[in-house]
Amino acid sequence: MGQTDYAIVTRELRKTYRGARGRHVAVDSLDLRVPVGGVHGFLGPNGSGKTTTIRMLLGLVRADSGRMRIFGQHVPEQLPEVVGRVGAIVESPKFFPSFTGRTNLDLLARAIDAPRGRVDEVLEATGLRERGADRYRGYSLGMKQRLAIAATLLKQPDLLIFDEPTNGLDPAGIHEIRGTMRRLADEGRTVLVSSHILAEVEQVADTVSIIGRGRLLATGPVADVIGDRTAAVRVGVAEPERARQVLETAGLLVRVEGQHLMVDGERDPARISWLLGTNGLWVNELAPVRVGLESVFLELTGSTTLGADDSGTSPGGEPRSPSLGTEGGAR
Amino acid sequence: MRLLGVELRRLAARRLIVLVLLGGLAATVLIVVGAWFSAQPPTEAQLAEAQTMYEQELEYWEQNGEQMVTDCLESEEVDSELEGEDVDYGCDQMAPQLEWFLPYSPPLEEVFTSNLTTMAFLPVMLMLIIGVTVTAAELSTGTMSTWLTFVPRRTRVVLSKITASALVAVPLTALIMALVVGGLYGVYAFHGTTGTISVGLWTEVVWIALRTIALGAVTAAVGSALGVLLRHTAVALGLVFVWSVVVEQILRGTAPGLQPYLLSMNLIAWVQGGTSYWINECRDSADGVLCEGIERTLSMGAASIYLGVGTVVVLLLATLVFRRRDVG
Ligand SMILES: Nc1ncnc2c1ncn2[C@@H]1O[C@H](COP(=O)(O)OP(=O)(O)O)[C@@H](O)[C@H]1O
Ligand SMILES: [Mg+2]
Repeated sequence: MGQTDYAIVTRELRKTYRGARGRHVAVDSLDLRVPVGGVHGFLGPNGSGKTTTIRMLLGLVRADSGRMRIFGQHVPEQLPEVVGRVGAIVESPKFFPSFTGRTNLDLLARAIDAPRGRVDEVLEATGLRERGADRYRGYSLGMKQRLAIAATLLKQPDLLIFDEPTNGLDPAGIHEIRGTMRRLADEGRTVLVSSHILAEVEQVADTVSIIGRGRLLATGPVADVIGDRTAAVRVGVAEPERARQVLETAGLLVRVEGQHLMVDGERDPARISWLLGTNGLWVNELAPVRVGLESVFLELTGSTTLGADDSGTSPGGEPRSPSLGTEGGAR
Repeated sequence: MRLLGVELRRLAARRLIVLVLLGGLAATVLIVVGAWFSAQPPTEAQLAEAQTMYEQELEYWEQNGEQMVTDCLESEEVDSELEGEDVDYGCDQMAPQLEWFLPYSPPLEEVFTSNLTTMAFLPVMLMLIIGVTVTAAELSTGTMSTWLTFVPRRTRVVLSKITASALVAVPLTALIMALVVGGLYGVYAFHGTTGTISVGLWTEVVWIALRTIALGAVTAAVGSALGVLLRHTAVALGLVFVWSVVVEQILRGTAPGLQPYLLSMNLIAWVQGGTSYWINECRDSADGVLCEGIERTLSMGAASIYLGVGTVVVLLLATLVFRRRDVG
């Protein structure tokens, strides 16, 4: 594919932040490719560098090195030329709390010289027509998110970037946002949606990229990348610690989740039950579950956990690979 | 240009402007009420009391006045010889006057020249607050990042915000100054004590007001630049307060020679059209170190250069920093 078949291309993108303990890498030689059209899921645990990448694309933060293109234009240098085609919500919607929804949109519309009536159109499209005259301060989280989407639509963008748009929303709100993203993509626009929750993106995305610790781990169509990796078996057992050892010795990937064990990479519950039974461990729960991003990471990297404070060894007793970055994810 | 228009609109929609204006009006009312009390003509009782005291004093004067004047002139002569130059003890103004015994009420002329420059700092401080919040509020709430996804040209963004706050400062400062001058005049007119105010004095008042308006605009611009640099309204205002009220007052006491380089002195010199300050000049002499106070002037021209250069530096710095900075 040529450059222009991608809405977003980054090459060797890198960003470090200066912290109390020296420089800290947020994004590390990231090669991201978002094809034109469809919904692209941008997946990674908290602190993996999703927001930082999006901020760099939008010229909000400065990359240390690397190149970025949006619709073939170099950013941030040519951002003024391409920004009119890009609508973005970074982290949470940010508007003037004491202004009405309409005033907030009106100021943005004037800044880009949007045609008259555009504000009404986008308020209507996002179901905020009735509430446009209310102060932003009084909006529910869902309404704030809708106003942010309305703002991105002022530009009639070809590319929409939504950074964890469902954070804090109730199921109805999540459903609504998903529908909106699907509809935007069906209209022929490109949607980039970041999330740390696999299930959220899996259902709506056509293609995905998965990052961990600022690095690209996998990318491609959803079916290829996530496919059948998303099954695991939940095991309830009286002695979880001993059970973990037994299963790990047998070569399975095991995580402890509260009182339960999560076994990845083994889709036959019977084998687990047999392994434990022959070791005198009695299973009180054995359920195949759909699991989240963690097990995908697990398979992609062989790391047993994503947390920063994990201890223990990886299967086979080999030194474990570094865990994926959830550390310092205070934002 | 379009951006400037949007920024002006944004300012017009902000309640802060209304709050600041209300604060300005409240302070103006206080100033005028204060002037009303001090300009009040003496009451009957005060007059009667003053009259009695004056008569007593007059009686004493009639008996001893001649002797007192003679003594005064004598010591004037002796001291003049000692000092080597003429001294004036005001011996010809020793006869008691009725007004000595009445509460002092400053004539409007004096209020218009000296008090007005102090009052001019009220709108200037308010403009600083407006200027700072224009940018700091956007940076600390994050609305700046939304804005930049619409308008990525950072230089234009920052300059439009700075210019907008300077522009709104003009009518706001003018309004407050007009209310203060009008209010003061009204008080004296009410008491019938305006006296005759020369065209020259009116011209002076108008110039003070115009210079205050200019200072208000510049202060708002500098405030916006400080908001960009420091990102939080409270931090920026705190810094200005600590600098001008604490640091400069200490410097004034410990290093009087620095006075012409103090921000506060230059602000006063600008509004007043020049000011003066005292420094001690000491030299060795036969009887040890001899010090004398010398009055120096700080001209309006010098102050305008000082303030102009300072403004340009702050605005430039803010623009450069904003161009490079990561916006959260
Ligand atoms: N402004 C910042 N200053 C310092 N560190 C930051 C800043 N923003 C993000 N980080 C760090 O960079 C890493 C990536 O953060 P982020 O891009 O927000 O991740 P994500 O959006 O995937 O949760 C994290 O470790 C985070 O703590
Ligand atoms: Mg994030």
